[in-house]
Amino acid sequence: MLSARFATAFRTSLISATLLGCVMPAGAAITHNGLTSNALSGNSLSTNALTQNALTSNALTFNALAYNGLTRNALTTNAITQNALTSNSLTFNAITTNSLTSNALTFNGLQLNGLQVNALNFNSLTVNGLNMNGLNGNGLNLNAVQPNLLSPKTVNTAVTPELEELNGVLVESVSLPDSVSH
Amino acid sequence: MPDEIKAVEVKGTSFQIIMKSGRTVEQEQLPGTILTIGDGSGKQRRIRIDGVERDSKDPAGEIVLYVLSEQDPVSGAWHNLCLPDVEGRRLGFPLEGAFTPDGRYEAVPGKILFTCTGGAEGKCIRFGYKPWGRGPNNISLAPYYQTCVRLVRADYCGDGIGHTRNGTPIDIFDRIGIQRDETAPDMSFEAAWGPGGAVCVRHTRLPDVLGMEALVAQCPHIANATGNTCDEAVPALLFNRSFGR
Repeated sequence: MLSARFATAFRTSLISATLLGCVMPAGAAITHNGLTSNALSGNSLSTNALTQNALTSNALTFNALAYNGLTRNALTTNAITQNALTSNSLTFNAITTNSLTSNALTFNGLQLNGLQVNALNFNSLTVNGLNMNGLNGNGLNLNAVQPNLLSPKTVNTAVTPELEELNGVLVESVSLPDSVSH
Repeated sequence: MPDEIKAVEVKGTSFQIIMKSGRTVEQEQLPGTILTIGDGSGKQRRIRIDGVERDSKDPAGEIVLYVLSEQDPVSGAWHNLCLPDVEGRRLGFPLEGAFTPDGRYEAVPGKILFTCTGGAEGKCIRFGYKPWGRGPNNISLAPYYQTCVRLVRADYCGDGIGHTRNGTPIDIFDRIGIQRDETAPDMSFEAAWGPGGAVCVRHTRLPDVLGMEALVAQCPHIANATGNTCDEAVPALLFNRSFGR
C-alpha cells in the first residue's frame, strides 16, 4: 500500500524532535530525568547543529502543553541527528498545536536513526507537516490524530498504448530459461 | 527427461508456471522466460521477463513486480514494456482478466492484462485495492479496485474516458482504512466515487480538460449531484481531493 504506512512514524518523530528541541539546550549526551514541563511556550526558537546522542528521558511528562497561534518564521534546524534516542514511559496528554504557522521552515539533513519509542501515548494530538522513516514504535497509541500536509499521492493516470493492446490476452506459449526447463 | 510446462496462470500479480511434474517454477527462476501472447486471432507478441521483485510497499508481500520487455517483430530488439513511473522505475505485472472499452474490469479466467506501476490499473492495486483481496469484515475489494481505476483516471461518467493528465496529484481515501485522507494545502474535495464512475462531483480535476458544464453535458446522470452538496458524507466507496480549483 502506498503512502499511508509512514504517516504514523512521521508524525511521532517530528513532535518528539520539536518538543525535545524546545526544552533542551544544545549539547551532547544530555540526560533529562524526571523533567516536567507545564505550559511550555517557545518563541523565536533557533536550533542549529544540535546533536543529541544517547539521550534518555525517563518519566517525562508534558501536561496541557499548548502551542496556540505560534508563528515561526524562517526557523531553520540544520543537521539534527538523534541516534539511539530512548524514551520510556513518556506521556503527552492533550497536546494541541492549533493555528501553528511555520513559514520557510527548513529541516536539512534531519536524521532520526534507531529511534525507539516505548509505551508512548499521544491523545488528541494534531500534527501538521510530518515526514519520517524508520520509526520503531512499541506500544504506541495515537488517538484522534489528524495528519495534515502529508505528501499527496501523485498519480499517473494514463495507460500506455502498448498496454491497452495487451488487455485481455492469452498466454499461447512459454519458453523457460534453459536452466529451469532442463 | 526434461520437465514440461503444464499450465501458466496469474495469481494476484504473479505468473505461476506449473510444470507437469507438479512443481511451480520459483519466481526468482523466471528471468529469461519468454511468453508468447495473443488474442486468439493469430497475431502474437513476445514478452520477456527480465527481472522479478516483491513490492516493498505492499505490507502483505503479495504483489510481485516484473521488469518486462517486448521484442520488436521486425528488428528483433527488446525494449522495456513500461514507461517510467513517478519513481522513475519501469516495472509491470500481469493481472487476471480484462478491461472492457467502457472501463469495466472483468476477472475473466484464462485472460490476462499487463499493467505498469505508472498506470492507473497498477497504481490502484499498489494503493491496496487488490481485486482478489478482502477488506475489513471480509468485504470484497473488487468493487474498490474498479472504483479506484475510475477515480484515478477521472472517469466521471463511467464510460472509460479519462479526464486527467499524467502526474496530476490527488488524495484518495476511503472508509475502510486502506487509504486515509492525507490532503495537502489548497487541495479540496473533488468527488465521491463508485464502480460506475463519480457518484457526485464538487469540481473537476482539471477544468481545462473538462469543465463542470461539459461534465454535466457528458454525464447527465450526475447533473443533479454537483456542487457543494458533494462531500465525504455521500454514500460512496472512495473519495478524492485535488487541486482542481
